[in-house]
Amino acid sequence: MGMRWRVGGRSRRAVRNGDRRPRPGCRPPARKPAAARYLLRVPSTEEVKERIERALPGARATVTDLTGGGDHLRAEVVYGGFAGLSRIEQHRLVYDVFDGEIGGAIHALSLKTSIEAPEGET
Amino acid sequence: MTDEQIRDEIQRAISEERVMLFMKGTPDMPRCGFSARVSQILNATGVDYAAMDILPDPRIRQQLSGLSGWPTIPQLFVKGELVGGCDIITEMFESGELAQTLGVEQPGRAETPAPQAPAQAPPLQIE
Repeated sequence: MGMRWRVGGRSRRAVRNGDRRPRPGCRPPARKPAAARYLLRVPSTEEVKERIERALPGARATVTDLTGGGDHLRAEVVYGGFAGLSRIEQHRLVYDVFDGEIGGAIHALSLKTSIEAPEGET
Repeated sequence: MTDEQIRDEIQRAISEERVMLFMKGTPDMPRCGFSARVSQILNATGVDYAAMDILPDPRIRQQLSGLSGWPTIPQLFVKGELVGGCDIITEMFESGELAQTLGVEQPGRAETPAPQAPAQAPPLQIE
């Protein structure tokens, strides 16, 4: 089997905006058998909130279901422990709570992280 | 292709392409609302970037997440460093920080794409 995908599905050259040549690398996603999907238990927004707050003591999480389907969630997390961390590191802390579940049962977890305002400044 | 070859190809793309986007689908035909939004944002900044579709082989995503330690797609790398996924890129775009990171000028309001929330984007793919 030869190489089935390339950068941009094209030549080595970067994808340029407006370049509309066909892309040999673009294929529809493989579908999971239906039965496999039912085996993935999707945690509720309430459960996601509790797990974040349990893992990050003192954090306040607001979790919403973006699509109503239960697998595209958004969490807004306020946590003092984010202080001094880059956004990447802040988001990693939250993703780590759901190790292996994101991309699985939770198709997507959109995040907004912020550092708790110091006492008396809210 | 072996897993090692896939990993090497990803590694090479990250280190050789100044702005490298891993996404579901392609910039012309994104297959997920989050990937669509990030490529729209990059288009709005006018930066040259390379993109790799992770969908053709599930091992691309496995190897990529293994390398980056980041579970979700899309993932944007600039000069070999992971900058973020959709949420971070959107925030950085709105604050002007992204243009700075990319070394381009912040586009004016008129050129800003005002991307829709992924929830309203065309139905998302179930893998």
